[in-house]
Amino acid sequence: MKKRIVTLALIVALIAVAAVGSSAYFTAQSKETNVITAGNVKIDLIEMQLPADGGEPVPFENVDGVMPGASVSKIVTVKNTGDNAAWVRVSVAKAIELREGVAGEADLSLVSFDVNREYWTEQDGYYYYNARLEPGAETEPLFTAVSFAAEMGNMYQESTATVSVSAQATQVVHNGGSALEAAGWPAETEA
Amino acid sequence: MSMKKRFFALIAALVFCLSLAPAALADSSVTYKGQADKFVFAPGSEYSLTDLFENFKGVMPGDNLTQQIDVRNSADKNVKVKIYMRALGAQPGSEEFLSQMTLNVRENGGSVLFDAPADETAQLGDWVCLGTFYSGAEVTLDVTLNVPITMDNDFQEAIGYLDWEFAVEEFPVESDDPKTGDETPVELYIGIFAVSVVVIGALLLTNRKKEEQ
Repeated sequence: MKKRIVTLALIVALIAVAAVGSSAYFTAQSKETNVITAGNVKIDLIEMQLPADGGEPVPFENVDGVMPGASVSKIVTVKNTGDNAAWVRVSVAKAIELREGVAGEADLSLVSFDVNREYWTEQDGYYYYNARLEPGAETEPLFTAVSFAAEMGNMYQESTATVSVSAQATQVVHNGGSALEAAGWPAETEA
Repeated sequence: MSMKKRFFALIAALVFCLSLAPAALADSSVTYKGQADKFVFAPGSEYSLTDLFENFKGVMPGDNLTQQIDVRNSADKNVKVKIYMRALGAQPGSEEFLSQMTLNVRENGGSVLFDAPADETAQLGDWVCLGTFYSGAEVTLDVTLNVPITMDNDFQEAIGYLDWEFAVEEFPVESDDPKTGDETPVELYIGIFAVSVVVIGALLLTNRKKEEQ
């Protein structure tokens, strides 16, 4: 009987040791997902005007019946709506469409705007903003008014003058020390 | 303000700064926590709960970014493990974006585990052993991401997903292994307990049979 007990005890001990041994060879495997996201450069071109009766600027709307020598409020700024600092440049195109039946070529120099040259530098047909534009920031106005020369004669009666503004932005990081040195300008954003 | 108050204010400021430091300096981590919890990946992100690339968000053309990932064995009991990793490549739809940039992964700043476009599996196509980890041991993976300046506007705000896989093998700690962590021989105690229960049971059974005879 004693022999049986000893044998039984040995078997149980072996089973216990085997159990301990096998627990030391566990394996496990887990998959994980890493994510890389790209940043952005985004801007909004903003055109505002001061109401004729004063008050805060409102979004710009076309103005009718402008007389020679008059000035129209048009405040042009650019806002950085992206997540990264940006270099900014703006182009301005003027056009005058004469009334139907009027012969002659319009003189575009009769339409002008008061460029703020303290903050903007003109080069290669663009106005470059002198400072980097941080996320959420807005530039100083490129100009605040469009003027129509007093010399505009009768041929300009009922003509249509158009001032088209477009803005571009490119990233600041790894891209030069100023807007004038920057590269990688994208397609234009027209107002 | 008295000298005493100034002293306590200084101590409070120091404690506050020190409490912030670990968060600011924290690396990503892959932690093996034993059979129950297996691997835990941190910190995760809004894109993936297991995301290890905390520093690779909002990348810009020309960026050269680094991310350290600590791989460690934090199993409660005193186990020795081998940890392996492999890359599974880009998820469908992420290939074009991730192929724009290159990833470099080094172990402890030394041997290169991976150096290829981020969408590929390259040198990590097969399992690579990161080493044998005793309880509490760790290695650091230095991951570098290079984004070419030529990456264009098509990839603004793009999101790329790439998968890695980690595996572990547990081994018994041998007598000649370095002594680390809690060295209580729990398994031995369990074995002795089991044997004792059986022996006592057998003795009781024998005694009862003797009494019956």
